[in-house]
Amino acid sequence: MSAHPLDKYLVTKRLPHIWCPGCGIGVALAAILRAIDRRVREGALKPENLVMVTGIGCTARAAIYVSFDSAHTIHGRAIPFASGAKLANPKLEVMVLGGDGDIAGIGGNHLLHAARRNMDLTVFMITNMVYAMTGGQVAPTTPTGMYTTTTPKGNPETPVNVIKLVAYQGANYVARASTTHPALIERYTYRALGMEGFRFIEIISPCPEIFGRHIGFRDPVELYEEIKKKSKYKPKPSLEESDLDWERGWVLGEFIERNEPGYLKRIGRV
Amino acid sequence: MGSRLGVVQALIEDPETDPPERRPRFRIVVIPERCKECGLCIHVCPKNVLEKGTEANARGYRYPVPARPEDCVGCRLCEFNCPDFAIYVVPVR
Ligand SMILES: Cc1ncc(C[n+]2csc(CCOP(=O)(O)OP(=O)(O)O)c2C)c(N)n1
Ligand code: SF4
Ligand code: SF4
Repeated sequence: MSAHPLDKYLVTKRLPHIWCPGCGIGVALAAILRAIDRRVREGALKPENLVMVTGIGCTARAAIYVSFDSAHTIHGRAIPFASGAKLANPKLEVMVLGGDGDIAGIGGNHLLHAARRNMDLTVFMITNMVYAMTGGQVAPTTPTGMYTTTTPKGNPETPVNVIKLVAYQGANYVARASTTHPALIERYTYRALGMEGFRFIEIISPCPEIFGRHIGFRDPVELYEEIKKKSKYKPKPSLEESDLDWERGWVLGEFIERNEPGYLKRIGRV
Repeated sequence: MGSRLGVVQALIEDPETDPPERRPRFRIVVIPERCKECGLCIHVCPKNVLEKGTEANARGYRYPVPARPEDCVGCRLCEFNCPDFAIYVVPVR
């Protein structure tokens, strides 16, 4: 019997995973795994050197499903855990996957400092615009005016622009993709895995169950279409075009690409 | 159409008797027990190859059926957009 092409990277006995029908997290994980597989098949990466570190949240559950080494740590602390793993064993290819709450909310401080150090990590932030696992509360990335379970009159806050934040700290690579464009996730991951220093990929992802339903989208396909419509690909966009706005939409693309020495090089570990 | 733990495959027509242009060039494989009936694969297919199924898996989700495999162009969009690792496409040799 044949098997799904990604089965070798998955703990298949744990499938079906816990993510809701139509949730973007699985689409993002699949695209990331395809990029990893390309690097492995080219001989650039060894499966035994792969590490995926996550914190807490729906997204963070990914650590449970990958067949290579992984750690499901505590909320917001995936980046320091991952930095420790990389510093202890520079051979490892260390990736962090987290929700926007996990990475930019409770973990925002760690994100800032890992980017400033140009720490040799690839961080994926799944932006579903809410704290999904805990019931759809407002997140630091929730666009202004959005209805969430804790902003019944619309979000009065200005969201943090994580693309700019990470770019201004000196990260080597900063890109935004969307699960409505899986080929972009794959391409950006593939590129990031060939670089050193801090690499940050934001992935816009529909949460049909908690986010979508709350704002009136009745099924996953409807929310998918809405997010696809709002996601506009642009080659070489500027940081000025990186805002997330529900009405105007957002730009997908590679905002920053630098080749500055990563942290390990700076401390003489490579 | 496949046991609960089995795999649903598009029917491959008879290469001896079918005209070459109607022979499926790709095999679309659905893994029923992983599917959650989100409908994304059916929605993204540019050739309308997949259809909503009528049979349910153990969790009650009705997995899709590759109803028109001969129209498949092998773009793998269903595979790339499935959140559940439940569908994939392979060339028929
Ligand atoms: C220290 C701590 N504070 C709060 C929580 C409760 N909590 C669990 S998941 C979560 C947020 C999840 O949102 P996000 O990181 O965006 O991930 P998503 O579920 O949307 O993928 C929170 C606040 C926790 N587990 N630990
Ligand atoms: S609650 Fe939302 S983010 Fe979490 S698994 Fe369900 S759809 Fe995905
Ligand atoms: S995309 Fe996957 S989970 Fe959704 S209906 Fe198709 S096979 Fe099932």
